[in-house]
Order: sequence, then C-alpha cells, then structure tokens
Amino acid sequence: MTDFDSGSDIDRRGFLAQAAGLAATAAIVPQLSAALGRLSAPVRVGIVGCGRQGRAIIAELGSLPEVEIGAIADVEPRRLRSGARRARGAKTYDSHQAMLESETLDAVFIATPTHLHLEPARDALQAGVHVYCEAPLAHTPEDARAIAAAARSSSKIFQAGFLARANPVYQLARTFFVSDAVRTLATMEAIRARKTSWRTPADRGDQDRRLNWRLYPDLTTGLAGEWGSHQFDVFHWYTGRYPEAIMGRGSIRLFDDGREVADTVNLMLGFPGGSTLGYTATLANSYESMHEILRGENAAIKLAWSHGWMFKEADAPTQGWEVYANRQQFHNDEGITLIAGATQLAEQGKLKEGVGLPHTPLWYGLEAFLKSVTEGAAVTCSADEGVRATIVGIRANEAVVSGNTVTIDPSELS
Amino acid sequence: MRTTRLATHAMGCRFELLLGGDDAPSLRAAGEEAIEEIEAAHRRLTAFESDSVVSRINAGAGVSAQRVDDELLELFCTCEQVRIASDGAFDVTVGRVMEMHGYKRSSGTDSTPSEAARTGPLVIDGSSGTVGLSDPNSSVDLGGVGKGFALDIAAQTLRESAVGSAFVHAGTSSVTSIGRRPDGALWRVSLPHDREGGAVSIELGGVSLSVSGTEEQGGHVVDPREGVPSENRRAVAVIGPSAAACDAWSTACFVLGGRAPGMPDEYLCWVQTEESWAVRSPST
Repeated sequence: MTDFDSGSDIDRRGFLAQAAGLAATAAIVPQLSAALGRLSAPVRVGIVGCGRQGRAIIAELGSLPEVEIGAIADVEPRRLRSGARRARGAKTYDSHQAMLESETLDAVFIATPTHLHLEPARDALQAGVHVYCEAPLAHTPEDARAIAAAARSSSKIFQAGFLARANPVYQLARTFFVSDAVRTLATMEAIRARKTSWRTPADRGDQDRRLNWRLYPDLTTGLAGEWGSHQFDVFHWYTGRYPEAIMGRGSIRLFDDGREVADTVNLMLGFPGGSTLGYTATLANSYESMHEILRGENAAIKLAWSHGWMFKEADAPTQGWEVYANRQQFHNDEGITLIAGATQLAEQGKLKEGVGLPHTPLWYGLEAFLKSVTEGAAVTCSADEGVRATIVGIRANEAVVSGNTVTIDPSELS
Repeated sequence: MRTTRLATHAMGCRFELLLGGDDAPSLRAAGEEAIEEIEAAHRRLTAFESDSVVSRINAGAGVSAQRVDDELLELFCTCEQVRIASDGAFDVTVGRVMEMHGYKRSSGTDSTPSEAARTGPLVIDGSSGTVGLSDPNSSVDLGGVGKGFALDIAAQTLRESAVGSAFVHAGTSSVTSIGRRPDGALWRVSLPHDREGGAVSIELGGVSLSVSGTEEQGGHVVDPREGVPSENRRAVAVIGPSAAACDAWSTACFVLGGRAPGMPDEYLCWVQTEESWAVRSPST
C-alpha cells in the first residue's frame, strides 16, 4: 500500500489556495485515492422519476457496489435538479423516452407517480432494458395487467417493488410461519402511521395535479392502495391466500385542506377459510409507524420492516434454539428477536449485533433486483404477484371510497 | 402572514422549522419535504447505523474509499478546508478520539487518545466522487457539522419550494434562516452570557449561526490536535452563509479560544467574554 503520509497536506494546501468548491476537489490527493481502490460499474442504470421515492432509490444505489447511475429523467425541472445533486455524473432528461433513446442502459428504476408507471415500464421493456417498477404497479387493474403483459412478453427481468419479499427479516419469519410455528392462524392485523400531509409544494392547477396526484381521487389508490398494498402483500406471501371481501371506512381527520382523499382509513379484509386482516392507516399520527402481526394458536409474529419478533404462547412447544435466542420486552410480553443469520452470529458471540437490519428495506429490494439482473437470481416479486397485490390495494380503496363491501372474484387475480 | 411550525427528532436533537406565509398547506408541504431531507441527512451521517455513509467510510478505513454524492463530497471538502485553515483545530477524523472519551460507542482499540489524534487524514477524490481514510486506525465523526449540513439542505429545499420566510434550528445550537419574520423584522437569536438572564441579541436575515461551547455541547468538544477535551470554557458563535461551515468554524474557534486565523472574512465570530459577548473581526 502507498505511504499515505507523503506530502499530502502540502498538496491539499497548495490546491485549496488556488481554488475552492466542489469541482476543484478532484485534485485532492488523487494518488492516495487510487491506492485505496476504485469502484467498477458494470451495471448502468437509469432512474425515471426523481420525486421522494426516486431520490431514495438514488441514495440506496449509492451504497450498492458495481452500479452506475448513468441517467435520470423527470418532467419536473426542480425534481430533476434535486435528483442530479444526488446522482453524481448522471445525464439528465426531461422524459423517459429521451433517456431510453439516448442512453445505453442495463436497467431502469421506475419511480413516477403510480398512474404513470405503465408507459415507461412498457417502453423500457421494449427497449430491451430490465425494469424495477415501484409499487403499487398502477392505479387501475387494466394498467396493472398491461404492465404484467409487457413483462411476460419480454425476456428482461421485471421486479415489482413490493419490498417485504426481499427483506431478510421477513424471509426468516416466513420460514417460521410456513413451518407451522404459529400453527392455526387466528387473525392478522397491520398498521401504517405517519404524520404527514401527503402534499408536495406545487402551484395550483396542472402542476398540483402532477405532483399531488395522491390527493386526486381519479389518480390515486389512496392510503389503502399506496400504503396498504405493500402490507397486504406480506399476508398474501405468507398465507398464499388473497382476500375475497373487503370492508372499509375512511375520513379526513386532520388535513381538512380541501382534499377529498381520506387521511385515515380502517379496513377489514376477509380471507378464504375465515381469517381476517384488520388494517389501519393514518396521516394524522405517527405512533407505531408500520407493522404487521399474525396471531396463531402457538405464537404471534410481529414484523416491523427492520425488525421482527415472535411471541410464544406459554403452552407452545419450546425449540432448543430458543434458549439462546435474543429477547426484547414489550410491556407485559417478551418477544424472541428474529435475526437473519442468527446461527452464524451466535457462533461468533455477536447475536445482539444482528438485531435490526443494517440496510433499509428498499436497499434489499434493489439488491435483489440487481442480483436477478447480474446473477440470474430468482425475482423476489414478479409482475404477476405485483399485479395481484396492486389489484387488492385498488379494490380496498374502492371499499374505502364507496363505504360498501367489495368482493373480489378469484378470477380477478388469476 | 402566519407562521407554520413543524418539528422532527434527528441527530440526537429536535429540529424545528418556523415558516412564514399565508398558504399554510403549501408551507406545511414544503416543511415536510425539508424534514424528509433532515431525516435523510441523519441516516447518511450517523455513525450508529452500519449502512450510513459514515459507517461505510469507517469500515473501509485503510482498505477502500466509498462513493458519496455531490452534497456529501462538498461537505467533506468543507471539513477539509476548515481543518487545513484552522491548523487542525477542527478535524472530522476525530472519531476514534471521541470513542475513547466515551462520546461514541467504542469499536475497540489499543491506542491512546494522543495516538488516535495523529491518525491519517481524509482522502477525497473529486474525480471519482469517493471519500476514504488511508489509516486503518482512523475514524470519521461528523457530529461537529452534521446539524449544519442538514440545515443547509433543509434551507435549500425550502427555497426551491419558494418559501421566503423561514427559521430552522437544530437543538438551538445550529440555526439557519431565510428572509425575514412574517412581521417584517429580522429573525432574532439570543446568546445568553450569564445565568441571570443576561443575553446578547443577534439578528439574522438569510444567514446561519452556530454556537459551540460546553453549555451547548455538554463538554464534548475535543481538541483534535491533542486528542483531549478542549480546556476552553468560553462559548463561541459563528455567523455566515453556510450552516455546515458555521458548525465547523465554531468548533475550530472554540478549540482555539477565539477567531480562527484562517476563517474567511464572510464569517463573523462572536466570543463569550467575562461580561457579555464580543465580535472578533479578522483584524482583532
């Protein structure tokens, strides 16, 4: 390795005396940087949509090895600028079409508003580019099915952005669930709570409709679709079942600012066999954030995206490994912490260090997609699974908006 | 004009935003975007989460540089400029020293604080956009500039949303401002100088302020040159265009016990005295 002490301060001082600011920093001890090792970038990707989710994707891609963000696209100049600040060196485009025509990309990440996923997804697949599409896939069943049809007719990878399926904690918990640790499933519940207006600063008129699409009833799938579908998919994946009837109520509890879309919803989803899922989502309060619970005869599993726990019933059989398990106290209950790679960590005496995921759920979703692209790994959430979760979310929103019980014919999800 | 107030917890303190204007829903939306940026800055900079940029830089010390985005690259360049101009009175590679003094979770090391203070500097490569540590015993701690960095990004986000009147602070020790208060007056900050309520009032209009002192920072300002807590007890306030740079300069000035010789003229330095506060101009 290079001698790191050789004259580095002199180099920096001389350089900084001549120039300040970002562009000039290229001259700061490049020889040392070279010695530390360069990053290679065999996968060249593009981002379509630089709103909150697009920027989050850009940030996570920055910590994934062997990825180069070659281009970003957004119709909104402010968002494009904001994305460009984070995607170093990426070329900027005001449309996904221009980006696909001008760039040679291996994959694109589609993070446009939900109702604007179809066109870039179809165009990218037709251009021979792998596609990661944010979820829900669409605001109508027709668009969702059209995306799935485009994915099926393409030889390229398509992954829907339902993230639980790529989450190591959720994958681990599912192995317990399917191995009957919960046993007879009694009931399911989920919550998503975040205090936010769900608004984006925008001028009135066209720009407001473009940026605040979540508050326009004809464009949005509401809290049930935009948030709920991600959590409903957890139960689809675990149980292999989809709801057959949904009851819902929604109202504006806090943000009475002229909007028509509920800021708080409560849903009851009935599954074949009699189990039910109770769901609450609100923009008025942030307590308990986001979690899903499956309650059964022998145990309850609670999942909170970066963490997971199993709460055993006193009369449930005890497994040998439970003696060594890490535990956390919740008021009157004690949960066994679900730790990905627990056996290996326990052998190293580092079990507690495994509590909580080191990366965000989005990071694992992106990593899984890139592994599918580069290594041929199985897709964690296919277009077909994505369509099913999307349609359940859309139908749940219909239940909220109408106040009626919505029934789902299995053929809708086939 | 009314004031819309928002807040969040990040970086171990409470960030508060006061936004002036009549369109409360739009202001709240702008404030929420700014808060998301503050929370994102926390995730990028925290040394307590293994997936943060700082943790990855530390984990790769002596092995590999980490790619960072333009905003962080600029922050690291600012830190390096202040380190050089202050002759090391401010240095973000003080992470290991902070661990030894119990200000951070320890990663385990056999060296002494003074040895840890002599670890190698940052390695910044603007062409590849990477930041690293050449010394495997070195560790980055951005606690001295993180709040200011978050405030700068929050203020930029608010300006992009056409917010013309804003006051944002992080735990009251780092502050930034946009325009004037809704009543037309400048934003006003009080710098206390005794326990009986005596204070100096400073007016801000579109600039930032950072205060360093044992009262504000719980005595955890370390002199990076020696690897020991600073013996200075006089608080320092720095006012200037960038909140991150104000944070860095106020730490350097506190360690030096007065205005840092290399501090640019556009930054104003106030130093706590026996009786009150006094400005330290470049010629003072």
